[in-house]
Amino acid sequence: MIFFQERVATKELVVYLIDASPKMFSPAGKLENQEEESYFHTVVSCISQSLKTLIINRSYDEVAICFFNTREKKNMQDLNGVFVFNVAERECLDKPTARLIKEFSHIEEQFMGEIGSQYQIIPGNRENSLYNAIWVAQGLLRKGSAKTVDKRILLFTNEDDPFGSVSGAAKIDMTRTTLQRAKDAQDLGISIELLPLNRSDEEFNVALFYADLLGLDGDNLTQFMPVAGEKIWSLRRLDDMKDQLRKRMFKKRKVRRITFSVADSISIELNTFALIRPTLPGAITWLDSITNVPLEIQNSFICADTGALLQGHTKRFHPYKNKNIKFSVEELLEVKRVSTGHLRLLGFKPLSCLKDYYNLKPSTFLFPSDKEIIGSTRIFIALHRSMLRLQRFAVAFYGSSSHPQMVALIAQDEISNSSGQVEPPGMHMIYLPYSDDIRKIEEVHMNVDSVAPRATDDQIQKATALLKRLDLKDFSVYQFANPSLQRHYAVLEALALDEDEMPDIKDETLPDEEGMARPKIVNALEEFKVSVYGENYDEDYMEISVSEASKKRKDIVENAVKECANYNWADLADNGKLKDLTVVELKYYLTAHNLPVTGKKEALINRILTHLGK
Amino acid sequence: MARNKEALLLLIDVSPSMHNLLTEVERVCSMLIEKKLIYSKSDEVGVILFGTDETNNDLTKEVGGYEHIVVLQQIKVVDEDTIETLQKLPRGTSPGDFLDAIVVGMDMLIKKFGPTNKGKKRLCLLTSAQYRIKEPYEGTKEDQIDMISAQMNANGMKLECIIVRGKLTGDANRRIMDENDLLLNRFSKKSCAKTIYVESPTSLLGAIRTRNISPVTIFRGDLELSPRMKIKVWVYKKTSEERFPRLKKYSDKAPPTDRFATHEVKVDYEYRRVDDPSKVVPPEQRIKGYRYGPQVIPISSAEWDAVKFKPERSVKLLGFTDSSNILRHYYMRDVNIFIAEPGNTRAILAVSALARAMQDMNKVAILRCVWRHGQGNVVVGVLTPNVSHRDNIPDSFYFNVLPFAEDIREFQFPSFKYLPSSCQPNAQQQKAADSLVKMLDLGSPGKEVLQPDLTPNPILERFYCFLELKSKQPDATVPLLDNTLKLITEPDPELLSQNKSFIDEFSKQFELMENIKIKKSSRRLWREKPSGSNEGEGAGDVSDAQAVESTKNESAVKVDKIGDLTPVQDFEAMMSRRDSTEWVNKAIKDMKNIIFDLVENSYEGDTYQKAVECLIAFRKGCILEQEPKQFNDFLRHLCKFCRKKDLSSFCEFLTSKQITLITKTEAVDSDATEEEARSFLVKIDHIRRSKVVGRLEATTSLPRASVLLLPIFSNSCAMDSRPHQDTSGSFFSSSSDKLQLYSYWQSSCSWRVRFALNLKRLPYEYKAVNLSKGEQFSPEFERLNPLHFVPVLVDGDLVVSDSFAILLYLEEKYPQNALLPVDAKCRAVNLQAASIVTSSMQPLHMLSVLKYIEEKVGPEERQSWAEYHIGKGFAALEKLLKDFAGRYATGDEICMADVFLAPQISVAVMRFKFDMSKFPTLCRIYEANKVLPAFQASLPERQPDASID
Repeated sequence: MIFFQERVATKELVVYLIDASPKMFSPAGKLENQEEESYFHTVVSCISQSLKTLIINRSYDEVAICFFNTREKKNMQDLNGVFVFNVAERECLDKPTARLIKEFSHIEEQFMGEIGSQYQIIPGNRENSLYNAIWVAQGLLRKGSAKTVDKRILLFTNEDDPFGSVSGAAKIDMTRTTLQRAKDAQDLGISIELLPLNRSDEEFNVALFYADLLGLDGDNLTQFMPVAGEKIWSLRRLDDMKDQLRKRMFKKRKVRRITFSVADSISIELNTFALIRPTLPGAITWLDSITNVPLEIQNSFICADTGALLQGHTKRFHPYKNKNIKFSVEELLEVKRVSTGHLRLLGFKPLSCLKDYYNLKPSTFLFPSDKEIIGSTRIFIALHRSMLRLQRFAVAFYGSSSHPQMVALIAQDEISNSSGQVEPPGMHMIYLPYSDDIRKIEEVHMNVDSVAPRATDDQIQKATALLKRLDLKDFSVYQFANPSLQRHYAVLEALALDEDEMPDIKDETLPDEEGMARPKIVNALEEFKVSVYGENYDEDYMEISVSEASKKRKDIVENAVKECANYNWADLADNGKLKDLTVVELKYYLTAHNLPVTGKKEALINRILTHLGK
Repeated sequence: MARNKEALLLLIDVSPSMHNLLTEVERVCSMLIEKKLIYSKSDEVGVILFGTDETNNDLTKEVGGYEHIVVLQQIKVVDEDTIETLQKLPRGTSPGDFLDAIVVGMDMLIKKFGPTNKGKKRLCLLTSAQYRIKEPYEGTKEDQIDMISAQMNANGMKLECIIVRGKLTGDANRRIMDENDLLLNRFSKKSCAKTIYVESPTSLLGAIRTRNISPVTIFRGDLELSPRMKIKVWVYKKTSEERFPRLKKYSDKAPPTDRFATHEVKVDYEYRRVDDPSKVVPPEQRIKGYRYGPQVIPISSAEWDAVKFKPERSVKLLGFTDSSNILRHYYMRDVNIFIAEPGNTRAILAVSALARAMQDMNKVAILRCVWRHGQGNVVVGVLTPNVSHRDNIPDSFYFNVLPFAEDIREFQFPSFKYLPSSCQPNAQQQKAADSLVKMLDLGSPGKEVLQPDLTPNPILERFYCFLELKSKQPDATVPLLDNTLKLITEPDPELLSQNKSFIDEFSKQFELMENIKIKKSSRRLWREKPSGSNEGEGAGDVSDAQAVESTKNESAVKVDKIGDLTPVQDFEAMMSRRDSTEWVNKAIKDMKNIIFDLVENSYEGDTYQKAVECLIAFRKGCILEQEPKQFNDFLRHLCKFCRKKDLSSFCEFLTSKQITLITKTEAVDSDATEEEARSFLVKIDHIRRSKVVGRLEATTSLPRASVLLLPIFSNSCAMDSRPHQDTSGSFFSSSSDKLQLYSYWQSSCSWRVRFALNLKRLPYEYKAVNLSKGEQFSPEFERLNPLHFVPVLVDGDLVVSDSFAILLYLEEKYPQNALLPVDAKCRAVNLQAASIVTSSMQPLHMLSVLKYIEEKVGPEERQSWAEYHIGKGFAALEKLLKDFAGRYATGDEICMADVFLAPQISVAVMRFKFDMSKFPTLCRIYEANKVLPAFQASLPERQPDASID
């Protein structure tokens, strides 16, 4: 039996609303293997991918998958042309499970047979499948208060003019009711986001219909177009679609609001965001191995002296000068309270002062807000521009109560590419080390009376040539998935689905050996090697490393064998005299017989006894 | 001396040029010793002073010379005396000769330890190096330094020179200093020495390494550029956070006589089944479960080992890239350093060539690293060149870990350029910002302040100070952060005052406004409390991450903070957490704050319901956890607070919900008896509507209530003549001196107001206006009310006339004992009843109108006119209230309608002998009102200006 966790606080409810009209099944582009790929296929593979990410990162979110413009219907309201997809025994709107992902990613095989594609909005037909779809989605999102849960509809379509085929009063009526439907949903706190797919012949024209549906009026449309990252993008390539979906995955969530005191009378409001944080494999839940029921850990505190059970102890102590110095928890908190403010500016320094080794943990992103202190954004932007222009960073003290720290604030200009924003504009807060956190490693192996060897110009030149050859032009930190994490979840997925075969995960972080073997690179490497190591390095190198180590090892073994022969081990063992020998003596036996020599004396004796068969 | 031990000789310059810095020197040296006492108790320390008046050292006795050098402490194992010794350094008057001091120190070390190379021997020189050192007897000073260096190398000594200059005094001689600097730098070239220049007292505190941690490599092996080209490297940590010491939990259970008690606390873990907490599962029967979506998948460690990712230990180059591709904020963790294998010249050359090429071309290297065998994960990171500026230190690389695709949250933010113009700075504002950024400079070349390498950790400084202090005075309070450390947490006042004009200009250019629409929460912001959002403030490194993220981290799902949204649930979840007892304390603390905020920030009681829900949950939790004191103290405090802050309506609300102290029967530890708990409710009652108390008095005549009520009613007769004895008056002390009521004893309109004031227990000063004598036409009164009508209420500088307006004002300003119900319907009925009295009845039979009718129509018409209008009004009121009335006009609580009705009926019956028998409801209401002390005290005949005509 596999235990299913109870629902915990849900953070986000998402309905993937997928257009399944015949147009979606037309070819969108070619795959690597030259097979045609349909829009529908693109959408399905993107969503499966995103669900996999979701199950890892936000397994408490709930999703529903809903097709519209289908032949068959399946939904609570029994509306035509809408089909809600779910897996056996789970609800329509539910946390993603391994089964859902698997069945959904293979949906194309049965889609035509079981669900079917049929464009419903045609003259003479009073059905409005888009209207129905939004209604069904809204119904799915009924649970949970909009205050505590984010509710979203992600709409995938390549039809920019859904009512293009009808005309006259029918069109006006359909448009009006659909917009009203969407507005009602939005009024209920549901955000509708569009992922439009360009058809090969024409660009998706948001203005035709969807701008109204999303509530973008003329001004917003033009002025906020780049921001509309929030709501709209035109997808030029299939990859962009994946990029966009990945960016949509996480709802922007601030960590906390802080004040940034620029000077005595000027404190502005900032929100902090965690843009980069290590994703770790999920925490362990202890289970009872017999029933697979989760266990609860209960810890009790026991006085080491008397064995009495303790409750509500608030004192701590630290040994010092042979005494135990006691502290109350309040006192310890007070010690940490060195600053009253949230973030206080201390001054500015040139960027060159920020050394590469001034780092301790992931940075925090700062973005201004005018929500409570009007004018904050303006000050922030002014400082941001000045810092960028003057190539300076700010030094500030971040007085959080748990971990106050000196920080550097670096202004980051916005960076965008074809698929949208890559780096948002704002400041990054870098946590700076203190003097005791920095180790002077360079000095540890300092050569007292000699000058350290330095590369010659020729060697540097050869290195330069190598650098040019081995250049990763478009390197981006986004390109590597964490292989151990991928493996972890692939294994879990296989176990969740009871698959026998363990999946093979490609480790993307391995060097490109093929590329490295290209003659030009091999040459550059060889030249550099010869220039720093000399001609006959390989032979010397092997000789030194192999011979020295192995010779030493051989000596030890020989010595051990010799010494070992001086004792009658079987006798000693039988008479229980082994324990009278020293560890060094015991190790003679172990070494001579090629056994591990680690551990405490008792372990060594046991090992000998086992080996002697006693 | 053991390998890990250190012998340290402090050579401290106490000559006049150092005097202004000696306090900091004493501090940093004490800190050094304190940390040694904690972390390396067997280290040995000696102290030598130079520049002293006296001379006391071995060398001067043996060979002469070496004057003005005092051995303050011989080399010995650290103890607390050393701290004492270092805290009172004498101020010398002679110029110090640092070279002599170094020689004396070396001599001491050699005599003590001989030429052994075991252990570390360190000389730490603290000087301003402002005085010329003596010429040697033979050779040059340089020769002498070379000789000393050779000696130091032979004996394995290290030298650390900290040159403190700070603000140069006027008589500083630049030439001498330059010479001295050259001499000291010669040490670094010839021996294991380094020189640090310190500009400020703050940096001085950070300049000395107070704790020695032997560096350990995390990797030794090949940096593989390709399968055919490898460089032997050692990898160390370059930065590693020195954490706040982990303090042990203290147990006071051991008897005080037990001298061997450890006072430690052990933690016992038990695993219980969630579905059946009575079942304890033995540790070997547990199996790890991993979450995948809603499923929890059990995998044993052995199974996991078989399938998990097992990369090979290696460090491989992926390639080089432009340094601009790696933004600074991608750095994820503490930093490592790659050095070429020591002594391996070829490796050193290879690293040097690459580092220099990378620096020239502005490139960085991307590496894939698996540090240890069997380590389950891989890191991808960036190697940046660290080109050495010292001849005897080889080049190296810094290594920073980069994020994986999974670690990045790609949030989208609006472009600044598309933000509305109200957010865009204009040219002048930009200029002000530019000059601020330029002028508040901390990093001018050679004068950089707050350099991390020289900045001490203020929290740790403070902790160790406190520890030392507590070792002497166990009751000591946490010392304040002194000015030297404040320079780390706050801007330098000197820098601010130097640049005052730029800051002022900046402040002038920009305007900040509090958004009044959401004042409530912004108040919280100004108060600098953590926001109450669910994304709480956690402890530790990645607290931010935990809060935001997604993660499947146990602690992220567990509630570790009480949020605004679901405080009750959060509280319960937190109280039931068993992984630390801290949670209970935190839950209690957070809950208290939440309840306070709810009560304090409520608008017309809109959050009371929620606050009470929280309070109920809190009470339950405290009973369960047997923490009655926490709750009782809090409840008492809360009620006191409410009384002070005019929030007595909340106390009322509490009483109505029957929330009281936790009694002994509920929790043994409670300090409250049943009786006390019951009386606590009644005590809250004191500030409830007087009518309730009045009713109590009328029906059961509880002594407590009558004692409470008497003073105010006796006062009401002669309010102006006597000072208040009102026991409850202090609740409303803010208003007690201010209210003045201009009234006439016979006026029914004044009567209402008197009645209402008594109900609200508002003391007031009675100002008689004798209508029969026409005092209402006096110029003084005309200023108050040009209509010449009583009553008029004066509250501070506010004058309100018209009884209806007065009552509505009172209701708003003094919400205690509310007269208008919250329910809209009931409220409407009250207002309607009031309006009937004020507009359709009283004005039609007021004295002036009747007089007018009598004159114009005749005396007999006077009575019938009055009777007609009174009857018409009462008929309407009877019909209106018939279905609403309870004990009082609109229910069981006294309300606005009563206030208007009772005097009206009284006037009708007394003055016009009106027959009320047709109006049973009104009669019943009147009877109920009549017995109220508040009403009786408002009776016309009990007013100070009453006279029997």
